[in-house]
Amino acid sequence: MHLIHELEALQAERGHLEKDDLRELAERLSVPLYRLQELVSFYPHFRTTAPAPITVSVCRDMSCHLAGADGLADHLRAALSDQAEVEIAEASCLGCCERAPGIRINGVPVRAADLAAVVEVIRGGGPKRELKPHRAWKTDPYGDAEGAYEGVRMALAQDDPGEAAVRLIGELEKSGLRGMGGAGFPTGLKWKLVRAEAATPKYVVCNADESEPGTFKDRVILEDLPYLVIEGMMLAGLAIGASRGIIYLRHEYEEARACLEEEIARARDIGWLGPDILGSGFDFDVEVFISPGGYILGEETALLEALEDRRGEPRNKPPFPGQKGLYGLPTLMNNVETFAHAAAIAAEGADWWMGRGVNGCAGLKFVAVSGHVEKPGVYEIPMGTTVAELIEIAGGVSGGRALKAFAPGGASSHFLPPDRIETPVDFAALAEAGSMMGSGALVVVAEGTPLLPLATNIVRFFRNESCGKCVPCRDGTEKATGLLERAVSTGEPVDMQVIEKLNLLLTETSICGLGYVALNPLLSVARHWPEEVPGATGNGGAT
Amino acid sequence: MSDAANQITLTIDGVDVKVEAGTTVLQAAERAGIVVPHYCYHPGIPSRPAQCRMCLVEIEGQPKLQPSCVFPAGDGMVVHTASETAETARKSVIEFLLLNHPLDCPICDAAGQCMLQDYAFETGQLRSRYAEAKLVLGRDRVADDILYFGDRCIICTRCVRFMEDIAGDNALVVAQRGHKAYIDTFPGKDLDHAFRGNIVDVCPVGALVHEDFVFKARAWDMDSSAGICPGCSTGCNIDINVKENRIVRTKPRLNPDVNSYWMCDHGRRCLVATNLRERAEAPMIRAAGELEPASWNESIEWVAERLVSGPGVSVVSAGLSNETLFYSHLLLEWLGIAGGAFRVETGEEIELKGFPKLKLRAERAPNGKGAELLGFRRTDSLPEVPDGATLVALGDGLEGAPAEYGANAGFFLYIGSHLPAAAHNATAILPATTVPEMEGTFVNFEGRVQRFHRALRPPGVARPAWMFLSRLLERLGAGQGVLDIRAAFAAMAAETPGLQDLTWGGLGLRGALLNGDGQPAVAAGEGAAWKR
Repeated sequence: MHLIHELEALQAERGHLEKDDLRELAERLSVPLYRLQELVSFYPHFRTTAPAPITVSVCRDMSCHLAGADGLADHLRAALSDQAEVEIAEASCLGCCERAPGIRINGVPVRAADLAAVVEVIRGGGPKRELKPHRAWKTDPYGDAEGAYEGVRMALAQDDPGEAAVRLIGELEKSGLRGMGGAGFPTGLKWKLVRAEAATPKYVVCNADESEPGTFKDRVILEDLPYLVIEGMMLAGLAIGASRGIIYLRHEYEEARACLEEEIARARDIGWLGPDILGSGFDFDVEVFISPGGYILGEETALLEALEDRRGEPRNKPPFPGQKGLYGLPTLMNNVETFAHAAAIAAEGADWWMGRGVNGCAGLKFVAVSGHVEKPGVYEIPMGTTVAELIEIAGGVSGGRALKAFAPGGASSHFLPPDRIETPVDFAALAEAGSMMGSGALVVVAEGTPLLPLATNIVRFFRNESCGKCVPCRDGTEKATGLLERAVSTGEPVDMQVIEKLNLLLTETSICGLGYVALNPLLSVARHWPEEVPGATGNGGAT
Repeated sequence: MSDAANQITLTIDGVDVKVEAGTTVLQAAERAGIVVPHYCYHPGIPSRPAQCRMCLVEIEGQPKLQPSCVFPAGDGMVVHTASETAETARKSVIEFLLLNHPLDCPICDAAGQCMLQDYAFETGQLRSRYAEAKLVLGRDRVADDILYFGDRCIICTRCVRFMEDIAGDNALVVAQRGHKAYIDTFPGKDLDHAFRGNIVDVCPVGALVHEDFVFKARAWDMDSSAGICPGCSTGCNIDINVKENRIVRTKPRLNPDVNSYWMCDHGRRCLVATNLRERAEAPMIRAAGELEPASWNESIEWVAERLVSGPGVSVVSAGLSNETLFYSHLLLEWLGIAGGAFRVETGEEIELKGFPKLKLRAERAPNGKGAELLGFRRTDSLPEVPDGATLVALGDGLEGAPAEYGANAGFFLYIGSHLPAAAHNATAILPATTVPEMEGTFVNFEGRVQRFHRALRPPGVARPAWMFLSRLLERLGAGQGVLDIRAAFAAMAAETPGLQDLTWGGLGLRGALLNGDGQPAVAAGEGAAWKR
């Protein structure tokens, strides 16, 4: 069993990880204590002090900041000062941006209209878990789990499994499907490259660790379409020659975990997962690995480190996971949404997929919309839908206010001004407009919102989530945060030359993407809204 | 190895370099004499996290700077280690490392030997562009004898990886993450590995310091000489650091054939401890009932007149150099004393997992093998001294002897650097230098003959024993006095099977294996240059 799982089990049993319990665990597992110490101190989910009977996590990141989360934890503490049994802690993005400010009480997300309502829920001993209705999605060829796995059946029905794999990959290549986790790498090509690797066994890993502020689309896909994600992984297993799939899921997604585990159990029961599927000789099984927390684990190589029971610190690339991934073996890693779409394409064909887009774009896209909109949530839109249309679909800017800015790809994407609102949601178009598709998270900012504190908030998030492995990110994000916090609190000018050099260094020398993107939001604010950043001239910043 | 198909050629800063496939760009640059600055890379530690971002270089065709410590050299590759982009990145990394650094060089023990200081000085940045308050991590203790200065630490993880890769007993971890990260042990569990001291040596800055060295000496106030550790029969190559004629610390010196970059903590302690013992500083003769100081000339003359061939015993030590043992043996032959003996202290053997050749060996003396080669035999107990017999005792041979030992001898010659209780029964005492006060050779457990060099000035008029023994022999008409270590080694090599064909100069700093079968000794091969 994984050390990380052992630690999780111990924490679930005892509430926290005490020194003596850790010693006992180390002895029982015959692992040295340092192995436990490095994990316990790295992962935010692990705690070494006893929790109060009611623990409240309050998110203060991007979307929640826009919903007024700054100081919320303090207000809650003040309002509940008579409650000794309540512990209130600020946490990084909880992945429930549609109900911002995000609050979890004893692990259950709370929907509450205002502070008083939250206080009421806490005084009442915590919230009840809500059951969500199953929603229908266009990318789902089946409608429900009963009809699922048709794509796998079709592939297995072919005489030559090698040819079936090649055909499947060809279909993906033709569809133009790209990775939906942020980097947008062509999916068919990735599968083809991993298929070509000689080393075995190979692994299929589903990256379900979306943790970027504003991003929660994968949660909805996992809750509503677990079978489609699993089918996508099975197809990947067929295509590359792997028989083990791992879904790396962030620990906050407890509902998604339940949905996945239920579907995995069902699929195993009826023979869709396990050895010799449909008598074809193809073995494939899927397990869920619960992440012990941290945004950085969404970085593919950090995720692999965690799967190998180590501190989630990104590796240097090359070698890429497709060449040397989990345990040094070829590993195909895709995002939740990518696997779901791949399954849809396998079942319906590339032509069908290409016909789903608009404005000359191909396919469908799940976008999490949050911030200042009337109806925040996850929307499935034809690729190429404009940002303006998407904001309309989400009920328009909240309170009828004017639009001030939007980040089309989550906290790491550049903010764009209202004059780019007709940009289609598409990899190329968003890049051309000066931002990116990113993690599929549109964050809308209404007129009247100061942008420097927002950008500072985002840089602080990256600072908090830096793993600390490489120098530029460890110290650069910390310094940028200090510099910006000072500017926000005192109004002193920001030395944009310093910021730009810092950005150059972060992008040139950091090991992973966290360092590359950390200053993006700030640079775009300085570029498009120089009047909001004392010291900015409007000429600086990348586009 | 030199298979042509395996050879690749790349260009680094305009220099063509030929290396074997699989060599990293950093190693290839080293081969061309180009130093790429680095912190986390250490040639002795296999894991390469490439996390300090100092060794980033520009490689044509690569979209971004690449860490040269892990990037494999390729045929036809064109590398720029000092292009503007690479230099700018390096400068900024240094600036970052200094952001939270306390800049306490004036009181830091690493000052003068600090890679952060060196590179910061080289890049020539006088001021930082950031004005934010520094993070303060404070000071901690990671082992009984090792302190951790958190603020100076650059989280290169060399210490953590030494424990993991080389010691194979990891007690150190990076605790916490991001800007709050620091090096720590599990709460309440100390680092107690027998080779833990190496974490101080691999630390490129002053974050890890031996407590017994803290604030003792500045790097530039110390002299350093190449020695051999006397702690056991491994014969680790060491640098002996001396300040004001006292040994303040010993550090391992690279020898890939013996100890690589490492040494054990027992070895680190044993030379420093020799500072404290009572010394024999001048010749003493018992001319009129009491031991009285005398000049060298007078003493040699006095001893030579009274030594006679006849029954006798001798006790020597495995801590003596080959040259001293050689001339002692000649003296014993002249006296007609057969079979001088030596005792060796033993202890627990402790292996270093990542470099198994290096052990703290059970035999806790450097030259048992040399003593055997030169005609002495091991014994468990002090030899009985028959009444009236001649007794010749050398060095630590008298260690632990009862106070009355040798009192019944007819003539008791003690040659040594210290004065154990029994030495006071001697008829004559000739004061010898300790190993760090002289030049000489040892033979280690596997038969490697290794040179050590002088690190200290001897007290009083103490002299290397081989020197005055050869003079005494000359006075006795049994040889030629020598004043030079080359001549002493040559005289010994000429008459000792196994040492033939070896010369003092030829041993160099890597040593050479004995030849047991009359074949020329194998000289040590080429090794990597010492690089921290």
